[in-house]
Amino acid sequence: MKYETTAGEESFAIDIEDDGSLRFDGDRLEYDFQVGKDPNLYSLILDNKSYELRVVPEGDQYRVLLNGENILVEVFDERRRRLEGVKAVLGEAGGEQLIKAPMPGLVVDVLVEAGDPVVEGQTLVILESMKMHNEFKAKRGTVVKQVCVKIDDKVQRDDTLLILE
Amino acid sequence: MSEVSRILIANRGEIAVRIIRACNELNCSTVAVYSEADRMQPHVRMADEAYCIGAAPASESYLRIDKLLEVTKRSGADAIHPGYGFLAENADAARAFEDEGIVWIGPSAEAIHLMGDKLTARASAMEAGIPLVPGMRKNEAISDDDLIKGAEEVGYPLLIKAAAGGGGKGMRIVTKPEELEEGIRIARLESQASFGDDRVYLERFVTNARHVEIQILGDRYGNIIHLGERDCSLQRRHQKLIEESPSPVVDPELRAAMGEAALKAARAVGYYSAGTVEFVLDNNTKEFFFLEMNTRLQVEHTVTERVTGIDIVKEMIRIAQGKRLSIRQEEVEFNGWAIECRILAENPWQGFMPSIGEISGFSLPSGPGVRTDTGVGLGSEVTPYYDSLLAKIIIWDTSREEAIIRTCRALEEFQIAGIDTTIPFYIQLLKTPEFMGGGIHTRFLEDEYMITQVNSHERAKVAAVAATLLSHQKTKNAFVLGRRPVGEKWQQYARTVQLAARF
Repeated sequence: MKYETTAGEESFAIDIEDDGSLRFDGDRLEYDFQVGKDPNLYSLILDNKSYELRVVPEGDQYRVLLNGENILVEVFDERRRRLEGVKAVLGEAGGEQLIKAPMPGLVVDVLVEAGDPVVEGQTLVILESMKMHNEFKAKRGTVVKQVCVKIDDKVQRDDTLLILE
Repeated sequence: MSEVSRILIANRGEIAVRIIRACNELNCSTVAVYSEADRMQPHVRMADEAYCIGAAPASESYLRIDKLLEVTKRSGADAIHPGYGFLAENADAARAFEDEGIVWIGPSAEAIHLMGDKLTARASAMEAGIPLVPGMRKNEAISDDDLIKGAEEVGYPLLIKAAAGGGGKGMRIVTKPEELEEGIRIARLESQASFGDDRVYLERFVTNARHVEIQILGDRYGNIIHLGERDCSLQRRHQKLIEESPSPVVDPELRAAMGEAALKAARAVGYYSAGTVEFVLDNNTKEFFFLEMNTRLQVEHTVTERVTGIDIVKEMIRIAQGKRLSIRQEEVEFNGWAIECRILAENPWQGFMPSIGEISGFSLPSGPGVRTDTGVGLGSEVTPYYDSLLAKIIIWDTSREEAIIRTCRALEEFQIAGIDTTIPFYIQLLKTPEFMGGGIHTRFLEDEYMITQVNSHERAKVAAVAATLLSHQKTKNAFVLGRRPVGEKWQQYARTVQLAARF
């Protein structure tokens, strides 16, 4: 089975045969991949180099922890690639920009109203999370289409805070 | 004075665990409190007794003096340890407990009041003859207009600071007059949200500054000593990230001078228990200026413990029990080098954005010279309600150079899966020539260091192989399912649903 796998900034072609043998960018790699008893703890011996890692599935991706570093990995097989193709066609067009909360938090200030013109770098909303104030700024000059939150609202991750034209 | 043998810990996370350990070693029983979000946190499981005191937001639980008082009564606790943060520097809280005959394991309410408010603290320090950074300070609220007028005299760059502040909250740096008004607005907002007080003041910002602080320990009979310095110059937006003791820029003479100044500040307010006097040290001239005094146990007390061999938390409890200091100043010795890294639930590669979720994999570093203080474990839920400190590692070795190498080794061993942490950032940072050379200043991360994730081909390759093998197994299982003979309609439907759930 052929896979196209991206890890961090790099992309690799990985082919796993029915007998389990693995080719990495065309080169044969000897591997021994074992699951630990601890959740998501794995031991991988790759051409006699030993690695301890933790792998956590996250949506369509895997988050791999190795020597202190988290690496996001995305694995595409043929089926997944076809699926992505369909999604791309169905994907919505239009230039609206949704400002979403990257984390749960409390809205401490909303500095704009619907219809307001905004300039690049202007602060739009201030969200408090883990006792820190995070300012959300306009990435470009535009107009506020809709404000979806008000002061003291509790928001969840990925909630839309406001919509820019 | 009551006995101090049953101690309520009015805190959570790693510091609550730290205090419980000290209590256990002193044979004191422990009473934990927790919010609804913290039921399964380690401090709740470790304590002898545990009481739920309210909803997740701190204002409805850990900050509720009334509920804490009620728990002291129900549990029969005779003392309270506030830890750091929450009520630790709240003089009203200290007074409320003392009034009920509950011993506050910390300084007197009066000392907290005098030093806790940054403006009165400055006045006390000035009276004691300790040098201050140029600034505009008044106890009363200062209007925006007066701040803007006063800024000219203070000079740029300047800091806007919260009068009731601490921990970098409500603090803003302003480099030019155009940014002043906006800075004041945000600082007031943050200060109001964090401390319920929007008073702010201005202070000159010393460039090439190091943050050096002196640990103080005093008993209730006027004996007071210092335990040398900690260097906390590695900060991001005034939040300390890595601390060490000793400081690479402090020699014995400077240590003695700073120690003496710190003791003077502490004596000026009749200080007892553990406390810390913070200074800005001008790295060019070696002049030092009083910054503030923290009237509580600090996050980074651990590095001092490691180099002096003195258990500061146990000393605090003994002092609260009315015992005299067991160590004299001349008996305080410094041995080797200690470094602490604060492991935060933040993504260093995305502007230190808070990372929230369940810790799905966890293993602590160990081996020679490694101490870990942690308030989380496998399965812990990291919520947005509290600060992002998950754990601290405190590493000791004979020299600074070796301590840095050992710290990197321990950081690589430390596995926290499921959320992002600052671990990879520290590994990268500790290896920079600037940190290794001991020449960084408090603005190093903002002004000079590019925080970017460095790509490693080997790492990417290994991660790719592992994830692909896992994904392959998953796909194979799906195929097995698909190859089964086709049965009834409902079976087909169930298969479709199952398959859909996989993608």
